[in-house]
Amino acid sequence: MAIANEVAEASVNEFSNMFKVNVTGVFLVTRAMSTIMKSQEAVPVDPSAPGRGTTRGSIVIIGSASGLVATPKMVQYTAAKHAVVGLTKNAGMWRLYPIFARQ
Amino acid sequence: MDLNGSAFVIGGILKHPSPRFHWPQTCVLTFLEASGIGKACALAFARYGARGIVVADIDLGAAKCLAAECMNAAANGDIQVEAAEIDVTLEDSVSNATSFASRTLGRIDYCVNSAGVSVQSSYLPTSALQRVELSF
Repeated sequence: MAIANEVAEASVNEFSNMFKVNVTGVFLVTRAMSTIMKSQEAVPVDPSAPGRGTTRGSIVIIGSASGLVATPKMVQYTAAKHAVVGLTKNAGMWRLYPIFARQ
Repeated sequence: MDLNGSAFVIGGILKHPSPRFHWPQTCVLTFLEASGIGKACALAFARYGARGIVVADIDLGAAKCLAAECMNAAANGDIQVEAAEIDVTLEDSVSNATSFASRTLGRIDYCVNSAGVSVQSSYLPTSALQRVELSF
């Protein structure tokens, strides 16, 4: 079982690989899906509740409690999940094309 | 809850060490118990009546197995379920998989990205979460 190391002993390679999947991967998928959803027709969020407006799609990004707090010996995972929080906040700022991005 | 849209679910199917990273001999990467979220989401979409689902994973075999499970669990008898391979670290792979999902489903209403890797820690101080406000 992997026991992550303290910052002083943390692996640079592990840190880089963690960001490749957990951050760059999330960015690439969100980017591709945003492009596709931007071209989709806006439909009511809930036909029985017109006040909720319309949407072209919803993107759910699975985060972690580690995106909000730090855990000892998990610097690579904590940093990556904090980055995912920021990425999700930015992706959720679309107002011109209603696409909902939530973590 | 009734759903009538189509879902694209990425990753989070199996609990297993990542096959792509070369970890040191003394370490084995394992997923936290939270993995399998993608599988749970795909099955939920099927049970709540989604009209179509594409499941994608770095392990195409696992994606195909999940697709079959979704077909069996589906509330919508006309549901369309397909599997695809994806490596979220490669732009071309992401482009191909998302294009395939879009062509197959016609429209992607819900996308769940559960692809990720983790480590096992000695402990998780959950008390630190009690005073955190969650707002996005």
